Amino acid sequence: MPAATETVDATSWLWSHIVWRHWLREWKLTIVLLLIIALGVAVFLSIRLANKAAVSGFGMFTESVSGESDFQLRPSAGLIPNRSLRDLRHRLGSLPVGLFPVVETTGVIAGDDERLVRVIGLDLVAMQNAVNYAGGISGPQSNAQREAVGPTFLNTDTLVFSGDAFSQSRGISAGDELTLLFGDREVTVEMGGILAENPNLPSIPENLVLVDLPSLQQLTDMSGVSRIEVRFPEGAFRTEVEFDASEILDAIAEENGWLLETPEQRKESVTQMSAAFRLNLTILSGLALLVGTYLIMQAMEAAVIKRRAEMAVLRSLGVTPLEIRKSWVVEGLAIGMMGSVLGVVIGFGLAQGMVGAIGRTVNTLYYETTSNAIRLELGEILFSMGFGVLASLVAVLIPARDAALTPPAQMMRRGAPGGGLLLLRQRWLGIAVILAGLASSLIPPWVIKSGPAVPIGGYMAAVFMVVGGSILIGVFFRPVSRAMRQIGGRREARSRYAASQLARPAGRHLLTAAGLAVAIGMSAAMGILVASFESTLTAWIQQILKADLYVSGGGNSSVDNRSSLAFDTWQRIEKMPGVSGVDVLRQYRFTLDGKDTVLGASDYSDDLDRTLQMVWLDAPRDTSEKNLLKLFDDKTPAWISESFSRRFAVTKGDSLTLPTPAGPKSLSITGLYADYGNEAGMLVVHRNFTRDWFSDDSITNMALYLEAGSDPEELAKTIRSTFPSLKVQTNRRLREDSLRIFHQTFAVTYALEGIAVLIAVSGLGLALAGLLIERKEELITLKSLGSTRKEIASGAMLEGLGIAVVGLIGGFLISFALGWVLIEVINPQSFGWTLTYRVPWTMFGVLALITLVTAAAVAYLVGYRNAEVKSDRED
Amino acid sequence: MKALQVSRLTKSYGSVPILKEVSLTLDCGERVALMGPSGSGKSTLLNCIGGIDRPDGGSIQVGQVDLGALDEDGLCHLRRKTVSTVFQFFHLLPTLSVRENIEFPLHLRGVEATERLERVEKLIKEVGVESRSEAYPHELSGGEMQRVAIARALSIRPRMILADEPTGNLDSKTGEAILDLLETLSDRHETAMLMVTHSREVTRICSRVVEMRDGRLLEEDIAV
Amino acid sequence: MIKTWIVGLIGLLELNGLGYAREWSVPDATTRLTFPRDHGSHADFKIEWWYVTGHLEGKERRFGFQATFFRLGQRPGNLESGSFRSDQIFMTHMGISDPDNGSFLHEERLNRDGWDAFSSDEDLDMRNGNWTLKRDSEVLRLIGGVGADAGFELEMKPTKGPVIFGEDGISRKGPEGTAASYYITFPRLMVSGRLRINGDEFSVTGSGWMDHEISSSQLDRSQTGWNWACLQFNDGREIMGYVLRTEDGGYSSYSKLVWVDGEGNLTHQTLRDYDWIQDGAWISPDTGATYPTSPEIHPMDPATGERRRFKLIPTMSEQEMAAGAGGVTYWEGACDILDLDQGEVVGKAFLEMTGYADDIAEKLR
Repeated sequence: MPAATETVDATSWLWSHIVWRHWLREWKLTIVLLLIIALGVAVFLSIRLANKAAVSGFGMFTESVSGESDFQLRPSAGLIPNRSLRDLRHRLGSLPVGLFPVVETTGVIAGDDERLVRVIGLDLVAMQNAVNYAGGISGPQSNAQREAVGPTFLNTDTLVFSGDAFSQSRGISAGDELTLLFGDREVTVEMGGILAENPNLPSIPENLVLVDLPSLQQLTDMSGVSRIEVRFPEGAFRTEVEFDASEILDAIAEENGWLLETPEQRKESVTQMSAAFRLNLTILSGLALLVGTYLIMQAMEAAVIKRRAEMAVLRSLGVTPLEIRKSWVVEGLAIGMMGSVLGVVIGFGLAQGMVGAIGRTVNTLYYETTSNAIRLELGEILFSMGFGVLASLVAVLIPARDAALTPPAQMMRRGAPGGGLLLLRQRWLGIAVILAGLASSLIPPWVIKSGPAVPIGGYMAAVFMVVGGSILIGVFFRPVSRAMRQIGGRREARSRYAASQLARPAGRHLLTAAGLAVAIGMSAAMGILVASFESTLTAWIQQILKADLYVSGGGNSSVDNRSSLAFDTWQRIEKMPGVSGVDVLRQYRFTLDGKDTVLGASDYSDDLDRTLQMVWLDAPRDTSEKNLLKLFDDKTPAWISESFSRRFAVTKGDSLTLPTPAGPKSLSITGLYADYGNEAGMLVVHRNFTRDWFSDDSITNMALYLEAGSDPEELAKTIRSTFPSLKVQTNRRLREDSLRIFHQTFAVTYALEGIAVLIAVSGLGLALAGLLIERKEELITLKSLGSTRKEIASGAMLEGLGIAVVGLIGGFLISFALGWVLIEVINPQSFGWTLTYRVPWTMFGVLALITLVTAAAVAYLVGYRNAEVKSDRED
Repeated sequence: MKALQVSRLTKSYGSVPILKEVSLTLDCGERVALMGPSGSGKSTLLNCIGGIDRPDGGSIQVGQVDLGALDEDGLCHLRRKTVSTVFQFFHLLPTLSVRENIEFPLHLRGVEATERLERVEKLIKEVGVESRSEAYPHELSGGEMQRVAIARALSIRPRMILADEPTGNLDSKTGEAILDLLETLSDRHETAMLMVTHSREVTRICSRVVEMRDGRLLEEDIAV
Repeated sequence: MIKTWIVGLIGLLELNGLGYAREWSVPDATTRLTFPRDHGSHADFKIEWWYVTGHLEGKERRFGFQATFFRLGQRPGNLESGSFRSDQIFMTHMGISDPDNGSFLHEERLNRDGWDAFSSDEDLDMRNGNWTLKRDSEVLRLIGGVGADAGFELEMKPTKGPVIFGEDGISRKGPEGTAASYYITFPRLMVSGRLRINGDEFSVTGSGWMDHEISSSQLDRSQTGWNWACLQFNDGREIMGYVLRTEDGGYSSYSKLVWVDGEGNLTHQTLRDYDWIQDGAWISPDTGATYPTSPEIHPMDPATGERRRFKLIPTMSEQEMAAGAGGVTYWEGACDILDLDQGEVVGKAFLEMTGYADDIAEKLR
């Protein structure tokens, strides 16, 4: 009889008759185990899905109504003037190339909070031709189009269209009137119809408003288009057309300082901006799974110990160590699989909630995007499940080895401590790992082809710090034990018993404390990051927000808000009684080296102390208006923000060429300042220059300084009643607003922290249960010596507290190191923000309190339950 | 042929010698009681013979197999085919029913289903647990558990059964019944039996009693 | 000719009859057309088109082509300026038949007046995307194509004309005075140029026909469609003829047939002088419409005073222009002219049939 079949038979038999039945019997534990894995996988998957969905919406505004283009032709800054369109067609000659101009702007719907809507202008007549080009569809179809009697977009400029989502969420249906605010303009338009969804295209974003292009130009007083979508028809000589046309378009782009990109390139270059942020989230979510791994390891270790006698019996009946090991590994895999499947389900649900939060952050910090419906992709599912299964496999390998290798004779002696996780006893290893962490923090970031910088070294350092810290955790057991003995006093038997357990920590103690430390370390480190961020930001806001009132177009504070105030408007505000001075800022979005960024222009009047307040990192020799006005080597002087400096690798003293509608301009960088409000970076010049370059005297926002004695609230009221579409904020309000946005940014991080602590505390419960089961004999002895159930329970509670204290100490130490890595390595490398390190002691206190209370409660309960042993009979 | 030949067996844990040149021989079908105070080395001897523990020196031969020549897998096969153990605490597998506990070693040996069924049915009858065959260990009394453990030990038709305090955890009346059962079955199946015990009662079914003290064997014949 | 029907079919174009008569101009017999100005655009008329068809030969292969530029006025007058105008829409149809390969390619393009589509009001000069039609001293130049499957650049030299149909210079389609057009035609163009189709390239020569029709309404409510053809005979003469089908299954008395002799002199005929017998039944796989693709036309020959019997034989059956966003489906195709008495081919023709796809007729009433 071949040995192989025997083995296979034995393993599967063990599985179906022993492992499986254990699970059924201890279904509560099984569920907890599955949930731990599920939660880990869920967090990981949901973050990945939500990340994808949150940014996948970018660029789909036009795609969703007209299909995808072959190329986009867009200006580096400003608009493509209408008059260039005809010339473009002439240059292309007889080549059958579809040119679809697009006007894109943002607006706000009155009475709709400050939700920014993306307003797209397409030539609705020409869009009917889209069907004739590759990837095109039969133009936007509106359910109102066929009812041609009455107003059509051809005879009125005030018809807008939207998708069903827009109409549903705002309760606006065809025929309804609505007021659109474009900066200082307020226009009343009519919902002309609801666009039909095309099953082959991304769904129409909830914040999309479609307007016939000339109408939108009319409504917003634009005389150019934001970009031109270029499409080639299908057919036998398509490649030739594509080749010839690309050559011509390239030349045109070159001449005008425009950019010719495929939609993919465009999408990539934009979404790259938030790549670092999203990568950070993914890695954080991966760490949640790491904590989960620790927990599974604990649970498996507990199961091994619990079933040690059984293992011995199996061995005595002739089951080989390999078979035993296999059955454990299979058990781990099965738990990993089932937990992962569950995790996918939970994760899918979780992602729905998260996509909003991530989307808000991306909108606030990077670019306007819409969140798409979460799409459950097979690849993502398999990746996350693989991660979950791998984690549980790693978790079970060491316990399985323990189970298989412990000699049966030793196992027969019940309760003998297992070999345990020897690794956790290797102090030198812990020190070596931490040193490796320090070393890897020096590794420079990895830059993905002019895209985001990935702080590889930083992440490696973070992982090393966490792992190293958790290995070294054992050193705290002895002091904690000693402290407990002292606090408890000599007479207190329970604390002495607990202290004695802690003095000689079992592998399980170490593992539990390590898991707890990892979770707490991560949460606390995030706390440090957020606190550092917050204090830096608050200080910065204090410094820069000194005016009494701030006026801007409507809409939220997205960097992509394109509203503006016309010259007349802001002039009138400036002349209002009570205003002693103003600072104005004009922002232009432009593209440099293929990356989107912002050009700021201000008047920087030296008047009094009112210059736009700046926090200098590398100040110009002279921060007065003169510095920005005087040409420097015939170059326009400019100041740049820290993010700009990082993204374009330039600093004070460097020169760069700025594309403008008036042609390329040479700039000389004379100062570097801190700006935490905009990750795209900002380049600042004097408004005298941009007025000429962009032939534009409108502004994006203005800061008002009031005469002594005037009431800012009064003036705000006056401005609001004169210009109802403007957003007027007092200094206080704006500060609050800034901090609110900031907290929004970290919404997802807070959730992740909570989950990590939740996982860690449930791990503590599991671990204590394991410990007590392992010590059943001792418990019997304690009982026979007259200990009551409550006493045993409170002993367990003290022991649990001891472990929690060790976990806390280790966790906080890990968090200091991790926080340092986050703030000094990862953050500057991936975001380009210099932060001051700050520890949120209050948060630490709360975290410690929660952990201790939960640990005590869980430990007491577990102790109470496990004290229920009958000393007269073994099971 | 002898069922068991142990010669000059030595074993120590650390620096503490447990077995000191122990020699013992069992004939086929012979039942021998192994007595002695706690810590005298009885269980260690039993573990060595069962291949659960490894001796430091000397040799053990079960039937024609020299245990010293076997690797870990070999020892496993020995336990699957030749030597069974009956424990004081029964050590039934808690997740298996009575029938499955008895059947389990046959699974490990890869015995074919029909034969397995036949053997198990027969053993269930022989040990008298027909009415409890679908019960689980925690539903059984101590005596019933030991009956099942004995049936499990016999299922592989071992050359020898090692019993560690088989009645040690049973009341005297049940213990009696178990001893009767062991006697009957070992006679019927011609299985040699080495029983570690503190109880003089046990010796009544044995042809010999050997006593162990401080790792040495003091042989003592008894008349039954 | 079909072209009237288009107006108002797509929701984005203003429905016909919505108070047109107040502002849109109506053809007037007292107005004398002047050229080249009247080859150009007439913004005060609601509907205008420049219709070019022809037969091409190259490398012993034969092709038919259609290129029609429609101008659909949305508001009378020429008030707007700018790159995106809403007062006129241009719709262009292109069709190319390649009977040897059994392939018929067609494309429709809609554009508002402005940067990508326009027509001059001084001379023949128009564009819709990359498609252009313009006069270049003695020749007309046409650039057209279908997707990236076909493309042509043609030089077309008129051998006579232009001729203006209608006895008083006005082509009338119904009893109301408004249902009339200026109908300017180059009945024979000598065509040469280059054609690329389905991966092959040809140097082509052939003959073409061009209509330019200007009106504000041609619709008669009882009409359900029409059958129209232009015939070019090998003897140097041409026929432009049509029947307007009425709801009762007959032909409207405004149906016309006009002979053009070698010098460009016209002979106008009514249904008394010619018969139009519908024959053939090709069922469109796209729309399900059944077209009588091989009609017989029996006109009185003004040269001899005798009845002739011509039968049009399409070079291929599938020459249907299925509706795009423009919303009109019709059959427009190249044919040979078979003289049934002589039993030989005596020329080439283009045949047009409208109102056969159900939805159109319904919408029109």
